[in-house]
Amino acid sequence: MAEPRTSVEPALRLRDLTVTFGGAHPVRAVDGVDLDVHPGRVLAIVGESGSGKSATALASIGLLPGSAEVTGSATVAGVDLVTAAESQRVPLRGSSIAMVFQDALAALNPYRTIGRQISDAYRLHHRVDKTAARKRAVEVLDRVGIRDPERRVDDYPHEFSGGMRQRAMIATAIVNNPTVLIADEPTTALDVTVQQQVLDLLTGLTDDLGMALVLITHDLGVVAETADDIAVMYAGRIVETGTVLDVFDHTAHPYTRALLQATPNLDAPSRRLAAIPGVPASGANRPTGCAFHPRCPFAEQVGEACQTVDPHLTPRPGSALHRAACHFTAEQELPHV
Amino acid sequence: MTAAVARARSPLSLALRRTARSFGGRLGAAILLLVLLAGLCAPLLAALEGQDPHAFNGDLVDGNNGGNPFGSFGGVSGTHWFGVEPGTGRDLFALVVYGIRTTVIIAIAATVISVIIGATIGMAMGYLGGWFEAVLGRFVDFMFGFPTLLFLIALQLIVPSSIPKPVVLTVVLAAFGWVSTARLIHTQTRQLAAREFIDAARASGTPLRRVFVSELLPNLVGTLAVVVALSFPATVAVSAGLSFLGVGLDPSSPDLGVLIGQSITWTYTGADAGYLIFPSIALLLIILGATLLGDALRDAFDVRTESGR
Amino acid sequence: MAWYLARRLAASVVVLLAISFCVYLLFYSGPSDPARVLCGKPCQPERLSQIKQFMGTDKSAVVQWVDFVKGLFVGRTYGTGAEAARCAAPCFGFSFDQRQSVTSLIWSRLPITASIAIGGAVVSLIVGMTLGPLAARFRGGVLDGLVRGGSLLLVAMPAYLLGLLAILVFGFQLNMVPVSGYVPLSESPVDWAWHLILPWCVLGLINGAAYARYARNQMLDELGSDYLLAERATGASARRVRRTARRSVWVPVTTLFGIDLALMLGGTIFTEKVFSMHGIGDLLLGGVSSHDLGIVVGTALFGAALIIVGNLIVDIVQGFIDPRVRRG
Repeated sequence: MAEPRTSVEPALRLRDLTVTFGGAHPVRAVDGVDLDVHPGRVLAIVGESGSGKSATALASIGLLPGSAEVTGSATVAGVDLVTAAESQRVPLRGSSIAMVFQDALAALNPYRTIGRQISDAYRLHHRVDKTAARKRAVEVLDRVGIRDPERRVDDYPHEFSGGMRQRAMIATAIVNNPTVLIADEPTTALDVTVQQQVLDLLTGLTDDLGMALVLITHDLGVVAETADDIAVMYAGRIVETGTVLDVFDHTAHPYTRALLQATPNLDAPSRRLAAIPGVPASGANRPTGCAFHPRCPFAEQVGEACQTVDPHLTPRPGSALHRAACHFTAEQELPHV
Repeated sequence: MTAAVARARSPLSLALRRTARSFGGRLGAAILLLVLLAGLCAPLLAALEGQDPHAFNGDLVDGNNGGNPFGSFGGVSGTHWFGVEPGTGRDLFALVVYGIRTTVIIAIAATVISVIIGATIGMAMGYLGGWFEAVLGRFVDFMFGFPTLLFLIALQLIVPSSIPKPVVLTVVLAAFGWVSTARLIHTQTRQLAAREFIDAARASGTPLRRVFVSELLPNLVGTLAVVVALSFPATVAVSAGLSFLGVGLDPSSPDLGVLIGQSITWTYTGADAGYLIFPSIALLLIILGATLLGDALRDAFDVRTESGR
Repeated sequence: MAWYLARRLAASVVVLLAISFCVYLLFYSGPSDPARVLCGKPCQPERLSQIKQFMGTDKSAVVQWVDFVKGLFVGRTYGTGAEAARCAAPCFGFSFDQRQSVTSLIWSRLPITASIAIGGAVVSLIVGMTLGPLAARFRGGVLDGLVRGGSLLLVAMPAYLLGLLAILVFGFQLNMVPVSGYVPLSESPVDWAWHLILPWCVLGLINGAAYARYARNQMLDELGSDYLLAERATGASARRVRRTARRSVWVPVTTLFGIDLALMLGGTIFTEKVFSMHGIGDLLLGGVSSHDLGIVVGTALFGAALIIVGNLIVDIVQGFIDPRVRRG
């Protein structure tokens, strides 16, 4: 894995991104997230459901519903998508920042051919006629590994298999060569054998097109094989971030450790999987102090601080990027359970 | 019954509470109750007004003016609250309340019969399954999109005139009305039959009739309430419609559909609108009230009907 | 698609045959004897059997049904010799009262019924597909309230009531539009439309209100769907995405339209009566009052055929707008 190129301008820069869902009882789904995603690199955002990872993704592309209040900034191609007017955001979507959804069957229009959907996406950003757009659609379908694209371009989504549908959706997302691609659980709905192919496709595209890929997942196995960098989210905040090597080899946050222990097929195949005790916290029921303390096995060792003081991200051993939000200080190594 | 159920806090009582809380449900129930009461107390109300729906009052209509009633708005006065019928001079208020009575009685009878038939067939289809379900399912689907009205009209021709018209009307309405009930109950029963408690009852050797009555039926009560509340107004509309077309009840019977049907001619000749408007409002109130109540019940019981109607 | 259509067509023919069989069994073995009606009173037994032979009612109901089906495909001749009456295919029966084939009677009335029904359907779809999506867009607003309240009232309103009220208000009080009579399209298209405007609006409002409510709810469902979010993610404007959603809403609305065809035919019969237009409904009602079994059975079966053909057309349209149906 390459060293982070911090000198290069990030393709996507999130600063203090906060998402609050309104109503009588406002829920803070994302709480002050800072992230940089660089061209050609894969950043994985990991967390349980309700951790705010999907809300972070939708906020980055400016597609949260009107009921959500977003503050902070999400900068793509020099434009802050949080504060920009919708008329400024529309031309950026699809061309600079694109998205792949979890369930391709639901995310493709059932009434339009695959080719039409890809060429429509292309024609939104390029002044070309239908023939040229169709040619481009065939080209992209070929690139994402659809066999016989000339023929399949006129198929409807229901005529594609699950894996092919996911490839087709990736095709609609990359048809305009975006600089940032957000993939929200792109393999969750797929068979295990197909999952790996789709992940390989995504990483291949990242390298070829020089895109920045944001991979949203709950599966650390996927992260280990695919990502360069990782951000672990819990209750709307990033609790640990760094390169994959940092986080896997110098795990600094008890929650990350718990996640790793709950993931099969890593380094020790025979090890018993450990479930994380307790109920996941979310923006709606955020405990005081460190949000993870009710489930944390080290809270007793640290003492009062866990219940009263909210930890900030601080540097940890490993690369310069490795940081974690835990009262265990940088000098302490996290004890094994 | 409501009190007993409310204590138990069953899903049924919760749904009834939801219905009672909703504005549409309250309004619908209130309208329906008012109109039904008027129909039920028709003889009483007519006596209160001091009129008889069958009494001809030739002196109240102007023979030189095509039989139009004397006085404004169809002859509305202290003694004839809604005015009188053109031509005959019969009291319109008495005709309307008696008309409500006729219309409602026929619709209730037809609804009850059709719901019983529909529910039985629907439950049997969902519970028995197999070829029975397949064949009847096809038939029900077919009947659902069938131009029923044409055949309701056509049937009038072959029914012997010895059978009283209200009975004929009730039977034909029921004969074509059970289809939507069967469709809905069928889907619900199929879902229920897949659940374990039905299996358990079946496995323990409970006789078929007992499974129907003590296991299936209580779970379908909500759906049945919705079905009754929604098919009643539809039946009212069709029954009055047939009489309106002249193929339902005899022209002399006090019935809302008959009254409205006969008012056309008078409307065309430019008579006062009262003769059309009073029976129309009565009919509309019955249908609207029942529809509002039915919609509220449907929402409360969360029953999905075809096309959300 | 072709295979699918062929199968649907075959099924339709079978269904029609089944209906006609049941109808013949019911109507021609019942107590009402069309020959006796025609014979009048007093009726000589000799004359009666003569009439029966002429009408074909001397045979059993099943044989009569076979004759009917044959007549549908190749036409048939009633009676013999000088009295013989030819009924060309497709023969829907013969009115001995009017000495005309039911087919030609229907044919002369069809333009009126078709004008009312098709116009009413077009108006209702326009009303539903304009107001529904608009109500969804401005959800909770004034228009939304009007659509929801109005649809409740109009769905409850029988067509004949609304028609009579329309006559009363627009015809007599405001004197704006003609309230009755039909002018053939070939005579004067303007007068044709002008005379039909009230019936169209009545049918269009009643059915359109239901479509508006339905389209509103479907539109809200669509707008929350993943594929529209995905379309926005490709850079489509909110406006363009709403357009996509409106197109998708046509699919469920078309399904509902198919289910409602029979209902609309019923509404047309009421409308004909209210606006004194002599269409097929009027033909049927006239047949009932003159005890003309030929007309009644022929018209009812023709109506059933009309609905089945209509459903077939709806299915084909649906095959075009929803590719998933085509395999069905």
